[in-house]
Amino acid sequence: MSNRDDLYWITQFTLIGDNKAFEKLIGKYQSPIRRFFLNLTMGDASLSDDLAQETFMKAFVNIHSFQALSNFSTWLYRIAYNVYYDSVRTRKQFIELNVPEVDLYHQTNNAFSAEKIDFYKALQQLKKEEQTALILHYMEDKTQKEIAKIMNCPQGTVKTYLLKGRTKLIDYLNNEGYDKK
Amino acid sequence: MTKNEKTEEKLKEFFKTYKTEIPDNGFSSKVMHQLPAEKDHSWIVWLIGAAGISFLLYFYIHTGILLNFIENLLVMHFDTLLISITVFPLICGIAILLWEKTKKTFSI
Repeated sequence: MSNRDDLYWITQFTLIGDNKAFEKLIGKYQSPIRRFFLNLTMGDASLSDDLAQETFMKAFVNIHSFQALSNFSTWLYRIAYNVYYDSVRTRKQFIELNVPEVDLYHQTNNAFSAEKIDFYKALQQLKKEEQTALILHYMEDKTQKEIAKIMNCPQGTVKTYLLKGRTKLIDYLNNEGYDKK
Repeated sequence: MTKNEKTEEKLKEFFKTYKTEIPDNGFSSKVMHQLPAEKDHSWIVWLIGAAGISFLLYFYIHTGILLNFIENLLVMHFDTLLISITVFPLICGIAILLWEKTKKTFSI
């Protein structure tokens, strides 16, 4: 399904008010958006679903401002990125807990990600921005230009995040003997 | 294969191993049920527009501007009429194009 389908559904929704068209957009993007949050939250499925829901709600309310200057997918990830960082800021204000401990608790306590502990441990070696850039690039197949739009920063900064993240991650994988697994 | 290419391949493989599709399991319908009801405020635009047009029509008829305008149209040469009709949309079109070109910000 292409960006043309997205534009068709957006037009159907904004002009005719066809909610089914918006439901189709959710159906198409629920998996990548929930996976994006699942990886950023180190496998917290419940939080991921809440954030994904908030993302789609914001998309619903703001869809009239979508100008098709970029793909709908990029626009949606941009909202998701903002939702995630808003939640991080809010949680930082209220919770003063050891994040790796909380993450480990969630990793081992949900069916989605119990087998993904190695992956999350590897991601935890990176800074949040590096994690986001790497996840978007390698997991969600986004280009550097798209990532720059999503993260609202210059392309050069994205390049730096990717480079630093790549180096840290490959060092970690080499130390952990990922090749031999 | 260079070292960089090897690293790239290794990372691609690593992420690919953990890339999973998440089944919907009622997520879409749950979101659809929680969406806020949209309030249609377009009637305000129509109301203001209709009031504005009515006021202008009343003003033009009352002051005789409309009659004067129609009389001028009837005696005007065809080419002058054509230019006066097309010049305004043309200027507007060029202005919009220039504005769109300068507007490169990414908005949500």
